[in-house]
Amino acid sequence: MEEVIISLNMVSKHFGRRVILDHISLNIKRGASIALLGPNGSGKSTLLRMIGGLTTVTSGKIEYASPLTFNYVPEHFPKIDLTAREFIDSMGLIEGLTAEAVAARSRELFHGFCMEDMIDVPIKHLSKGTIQKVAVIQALLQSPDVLLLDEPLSGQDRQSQKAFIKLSQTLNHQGVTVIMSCHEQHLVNQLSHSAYEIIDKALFPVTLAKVPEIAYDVMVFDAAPGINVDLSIIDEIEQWNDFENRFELIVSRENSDAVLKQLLTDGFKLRSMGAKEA
Amino acid sequence: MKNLLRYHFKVFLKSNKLLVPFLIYLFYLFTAYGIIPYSIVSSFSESAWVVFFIMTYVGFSYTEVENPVTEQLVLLKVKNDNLYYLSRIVVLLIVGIIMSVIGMLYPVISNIYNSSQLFTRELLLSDIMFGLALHCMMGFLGAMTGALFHPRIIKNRKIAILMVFFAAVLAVAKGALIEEVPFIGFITWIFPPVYDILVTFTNNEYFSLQTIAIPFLWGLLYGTALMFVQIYVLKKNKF
Repeated sequence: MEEVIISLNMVSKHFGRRVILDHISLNIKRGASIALLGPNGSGKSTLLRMIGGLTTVTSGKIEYASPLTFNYVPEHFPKIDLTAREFIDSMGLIEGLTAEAVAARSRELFHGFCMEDMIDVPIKHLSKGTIQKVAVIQALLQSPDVLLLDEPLSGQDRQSQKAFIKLSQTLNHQGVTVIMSCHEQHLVNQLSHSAYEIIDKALFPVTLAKVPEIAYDVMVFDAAPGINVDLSIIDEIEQWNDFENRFELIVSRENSDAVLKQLLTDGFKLRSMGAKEA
Repeated sequence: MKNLLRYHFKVFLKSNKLLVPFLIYLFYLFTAYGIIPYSIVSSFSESAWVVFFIMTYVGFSYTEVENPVTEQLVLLKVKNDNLYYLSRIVVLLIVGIIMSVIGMLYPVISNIYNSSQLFTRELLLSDIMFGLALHCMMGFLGAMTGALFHPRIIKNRKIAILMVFFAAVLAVAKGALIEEVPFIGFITWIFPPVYDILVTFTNNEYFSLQTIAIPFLWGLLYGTALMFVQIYVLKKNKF
């Protein structure tokens, strides 16, 4: 039987008078891969940070079987002055890696995430997707006991998504516990052994069989500056990757006709479209 | 610790928040030592409280340099909250020491350049040593005062700016205030003991171990207390 490494017992979190999470209990086993689902603002990020000890609990208790090492991919990585290379090198050294190990591992990861040309650009000048790659790379420099992922694919291109999924699966197979909050159901299906949904501040298990297998289409559009997406279809877009004036959209197949029609009406130029690979 | 310090300095230097305080201090030194001759004890005391003010600003602005998200990532990688917070304090101490060394080097070099006529008497090695210690102490006190008003300790930044300004001014002006309203002395001890330290040198022609020891220890104790309070509250008030 796998060892329980983190145990949440009736944990609640309040910000002032606002209750974010209410009496949550969860046992996390070593090597598990857990997905946390729920709408924006439901408390997924707070729960992740509580597990990592980055925020306090208002009531209840979180128990750890032993001192654990955590790495964390935040949802919104800040636009800082350091370059990607400076930041990643510093993180590796602080984590205890040797300079040679940091150089080798970061070279491998920068290559895997297709950002070798951008490593000496200050992070504040990188695009949203590339900044998110930096957030992911710093967490993958070394294998921690627990990997906390907060919307890790947000804004990343398909090649980086594939690299990320592969690396996360490898780490998980090596015994790293992965706890992830995400919207993308294709990611849940590929990475997670179990899933929980936060509904009305409480945590409910979701059987993965019930997380529907959804087919997705990928569409690539060009847009002239100043053209905005109609707000009525925003909710239908699973993922939006911005490459200056070119956009890559991942849309569930049942919504792709409506999204395509609206974007063409709004003046976007379709460049390619196809089924998303699993 | 070495890698943490390197990271903090990279972040601090790239933020460009250090340049202005150093330029202001250099400007002060340039103007303050422009009129000669000057009394050694009073000029060093004045320069030391300028270091206190500037380091209060540096300590305060440094709390806003590290982004809370990167701070969380580093905290997880360090795996030791005390070490992380201590490393940030060491950064401030190093900045304070560099500023103090500049604060002593400038008059020493200027005195040599002016054929030992900068001061009313001969500059002794003991003056330089006591002066440096006094500057470092004031730098430490200032940095700890400014750093106490961290965004996770005082969330409202407008109030934090007012509070840090109020604390820094009262640290120096509390003597005059007590003279006017004596009972206020029951409260003013809470502010950094800048006045209490500087007043012990009033009308002294020389620094001496007897005059500097107690104020120095009091300043050290006060700064250390601020440091522990800051670390304790930051560990309690997480993200």
